[in-house]
Amino acid sequence: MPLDNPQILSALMPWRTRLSAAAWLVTRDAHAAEDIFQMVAVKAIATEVSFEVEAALVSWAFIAMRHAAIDWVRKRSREEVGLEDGLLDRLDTEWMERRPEGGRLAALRACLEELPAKSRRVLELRYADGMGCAEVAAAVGVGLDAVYKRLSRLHTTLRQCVEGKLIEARGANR
Amino acid sequence: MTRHDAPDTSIAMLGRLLVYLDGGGAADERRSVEALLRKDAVARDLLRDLAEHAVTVADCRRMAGEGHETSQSLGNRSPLDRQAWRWPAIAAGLVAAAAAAGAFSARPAAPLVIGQVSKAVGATRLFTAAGQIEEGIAPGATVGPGDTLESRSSDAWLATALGDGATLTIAGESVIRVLRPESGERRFDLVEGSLWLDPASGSPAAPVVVRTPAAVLEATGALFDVRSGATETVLRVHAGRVRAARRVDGVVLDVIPGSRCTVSLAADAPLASEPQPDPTGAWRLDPVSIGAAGHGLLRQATADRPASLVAFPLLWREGSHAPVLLHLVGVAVWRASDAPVRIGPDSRFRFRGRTTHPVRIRFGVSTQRMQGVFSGKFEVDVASERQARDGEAFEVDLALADLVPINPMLGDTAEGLEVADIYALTILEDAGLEIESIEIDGRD
Repeated sequence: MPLDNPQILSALMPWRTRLSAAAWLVTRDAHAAEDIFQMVAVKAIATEVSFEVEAALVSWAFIAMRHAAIDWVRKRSREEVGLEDGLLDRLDTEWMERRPEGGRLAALRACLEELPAKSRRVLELRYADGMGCAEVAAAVGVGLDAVYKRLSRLHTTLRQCVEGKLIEARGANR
Repeated sequence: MTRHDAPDTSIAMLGRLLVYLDGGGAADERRSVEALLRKDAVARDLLRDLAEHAVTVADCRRMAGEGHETSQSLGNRSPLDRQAWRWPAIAAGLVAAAAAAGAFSARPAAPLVIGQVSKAVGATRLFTAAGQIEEGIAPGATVGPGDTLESRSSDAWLATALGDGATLTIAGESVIRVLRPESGERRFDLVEGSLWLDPASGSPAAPVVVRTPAAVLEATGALFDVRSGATETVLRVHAGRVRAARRVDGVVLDVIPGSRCTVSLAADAPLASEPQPDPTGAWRLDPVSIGAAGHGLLRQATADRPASLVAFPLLWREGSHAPVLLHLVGVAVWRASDAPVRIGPDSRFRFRGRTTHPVRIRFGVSTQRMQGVFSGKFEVDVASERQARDGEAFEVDLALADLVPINPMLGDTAEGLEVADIYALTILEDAGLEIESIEIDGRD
């Protein structure tokens, strides 16, 4: 029996971050990626295509996100789509291999909150404001290499922080 | 390496990914990062996490309100982005949309109609979205998303009136799919062949998107034609502007009136437009080099015969009439000539060929207005007594006045029109028709 509309939305929501991230890899614009996710979510419930299982819905959603992201890039006359199709396919497939772990998004948000304000600002300038790293460097008054290093460390810190919180949560649930 | 170890390695790898995503780094380094991503699952894992961090940072900013917005960031974002975003509100909207969709689907939905066939000539076919095949499309037929229209021979064409009064015409062995509209855009997939779009005059035009194997074309209220094969698309713009995007690399170009643009899958040159070449009055068929622009089988030259195109059978059906078997040699002149070939008052059309026995042969041209839309077909039947017998070569020399418009007539004469296709055929009877040369001879 096909998924009904509430089931489609319930199934899509845990995948929101991954689907938006997949679109971001094409658009490099987090707000556009969010727009695209919303458009795909609406399409999923308004489409004449039916989904028997969550896996079919998720697979369709990754493909729809990619197409919409490429269209978005082309409509803005941006010449560089970036990563080749085969690689994007592989990234999507690996994203789809495992269901998103419950609590990962909450953990990431908590980790972001815990960052010093200066560090958070660098991340926000780069990803929320959509600045290139050279613009971020100018905004915070450091060199370009320093921005790359700072962002690399911040991403690594966030990864470690999230893993730590998830391990903590698993231990608490035993 | 797992998520837990070797942070220094992760930091170094992330640094390279960040430079890559930022569009920086030398070409060698960019290739090296791409190779790394292809072979290294850890690098892909880092990239996926980085992308998730990026969208979550932006999401947290939205959740916290727009108070932190910088003037520069506003400049980078669309008006839609500037709205105060709250996911719960969006989710509520989605649920409402879901409810609306559910309510809508509870009763039978009327099929979405994109256009209505206004004229149909020759062998045409409709593959419906429901999986049915209709041979010989009748005027009045409606088409919607998922339908595929075919004009199956050089002498076939099909005009469809779109909702805003624009006319979309395909002709000469063309295949077009109607896609589901998105964001108010009517979308078509020109699989192969030629398409003309003539916007409505005096009423607001809706955007149109035409996809081909090599390009995505977007226009609003523009008059243009597109000719497309499997690897190359030629766009000619006659009024308004058309935005062409090369599918292989996403490079975009606005094409202005009087210009043409060739978009190739090879992408081995910058995407550029050029003025449409001045028309010529002369053109000659070379069977050997005609390639995909020809309909017929190539027979190579022998010691006593030049190369030729041998007629290929085609089942032709119009409306509800019984199908008729044609044996056709056709050439898409627009693909075979660099400059548009214009028919002048003194133009002559010379066909040289052979048949195995005397037979009536139909000769014809399909035309379009210079810098305009499809303009109909002109034909003449030549009786067998005018042809050579016993396999000897015949030569038929036709004047402009010999060609008469076929129903439905779009004009009294072909004078001043551009040749789109030229063809010769026998009806029912396979007389081994071969065409060795076709020559259009006229004053520019």
